[in-house]
Amino acid sequence: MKKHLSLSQRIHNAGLSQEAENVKARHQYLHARCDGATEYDQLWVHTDDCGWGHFFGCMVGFDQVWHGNIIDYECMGMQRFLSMIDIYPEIGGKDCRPLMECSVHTLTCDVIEVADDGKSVRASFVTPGAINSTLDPDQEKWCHIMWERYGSDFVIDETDGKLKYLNEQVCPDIMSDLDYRDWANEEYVRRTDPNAPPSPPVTAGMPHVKYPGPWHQPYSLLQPPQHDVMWPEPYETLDAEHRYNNPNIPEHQPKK
Amino acid sequence: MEQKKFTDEEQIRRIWDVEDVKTLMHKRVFLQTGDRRAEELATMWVSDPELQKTASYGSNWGYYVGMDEITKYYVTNHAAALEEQAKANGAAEINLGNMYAHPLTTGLVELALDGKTAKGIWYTIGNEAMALSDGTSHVQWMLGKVAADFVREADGWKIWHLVVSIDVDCEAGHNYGEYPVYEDWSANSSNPVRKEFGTPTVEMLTHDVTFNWWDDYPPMPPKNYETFTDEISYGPEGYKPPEVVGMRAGEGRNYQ
Repeated sequence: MKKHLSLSQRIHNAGLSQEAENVKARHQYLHARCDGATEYDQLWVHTDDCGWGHFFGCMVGFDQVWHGNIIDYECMGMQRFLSMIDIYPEIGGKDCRPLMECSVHTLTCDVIEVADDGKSVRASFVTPGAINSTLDPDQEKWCHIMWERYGSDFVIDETDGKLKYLNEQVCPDIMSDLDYRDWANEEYVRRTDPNAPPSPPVTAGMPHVKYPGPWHQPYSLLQPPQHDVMWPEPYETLDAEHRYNNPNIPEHQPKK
Repeated sequence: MEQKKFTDEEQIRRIWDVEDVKTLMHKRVFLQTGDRRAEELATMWVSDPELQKTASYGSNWGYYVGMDEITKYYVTNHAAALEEQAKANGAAEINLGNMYAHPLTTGLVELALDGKTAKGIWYTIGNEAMALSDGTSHVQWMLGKVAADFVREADGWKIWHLVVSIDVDCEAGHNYGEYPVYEDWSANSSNPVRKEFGTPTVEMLTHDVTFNWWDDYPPMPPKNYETFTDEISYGPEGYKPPEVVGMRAGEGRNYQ
């Protein structure tokens, strides 16, 4: 109940909780259009301590976050565009980014905590998502499922008073074709058949990161369940202990 | 835009309103699951006669406008199809072997600064099962955005305009790549989701999945909108095609 806070503080924090839901959802809708530029320009603080983590480790600082999520990502979009333009001439003149894929990481099971000081929000989500595209150089539609977990820290940007991202940590769990194939059996085949094709990459390419991974790995027959992104607990203020993308927790130490 | 300041009392009301809108849409999912369509229209949609005239139910292929037209499509035509199905299946009652699952995720709700309307968008990874006369069942994945305008009436928030914008539809257990890149989206289409939508009051292609989310329809609700206007409506009056469309799906092949 946070009875140690005044009624006015609690109302302020309840509003921040709703605002965190909206910022997170806006991120998803922009990401699904591959519009990272709008997302990171408008929804993130442009600071040296913001971070974006994935299985490969963690980018730190806005320059590195921007490079990984906009420069690298837009290059992929442009390469796909170039590989499709002669097959599908109708894409000419259209923004190449959303033509790459529609990557919808839906948000469920949210656990949201607002700091007692009312200056930050921490939230975790489970995201059963789908990634699909109609146009593809292989001239076949495709739709994958991708289940992940999210841990997010938000802070109020002192420059405009808006709640924005400080950290996002993505934990990929499974990825396969939409209900068409048995992803666990695919993993079994990869482990037991020397001639089986390798597993698909978790992400396309390895971006520049300050803290190299591997952090959270997708499902494997040889791996216990992972729990490196858990829900946030009630907290007073955002600090080095209360944050995602924490390189010091045991789960993020180099794997043997 | 400078952020509008609200008193604690006003802020509590606004927070509560957003939760009420979310609850309304979540309850709608339960009525959908029970296929209680007439009840949904009677209890969850606008009752003001003037608002009923402009109420709309949209999809990728246009809009039914006015509660009479919506009822004809959503309740009457659906009931007739169920009677036909029951007859073909030799079923003792309608809806035997059917299922309707359209859970909502990724909610983003914005309340107008004047507090009279709200706008929201969600994503659904849904599916429907339809019993067939040979004893089997056809199960259809239906992934897409659900967007709505809401109006505050005397007895609470009501749906005014609704858009169900399908991204992926395919039969469960089938490779999405089996489906043609270009589908027939006319009223004569054999696509079950397109066929079900029939001939709307305003027939137009609002969302062409060929280009993923390039067309950005339906868009996210604007942040901090002052008051409702037709320009931001999820009804047909608010539909805006991309400024530059260029070639449409399948065009542009005669350049050699």
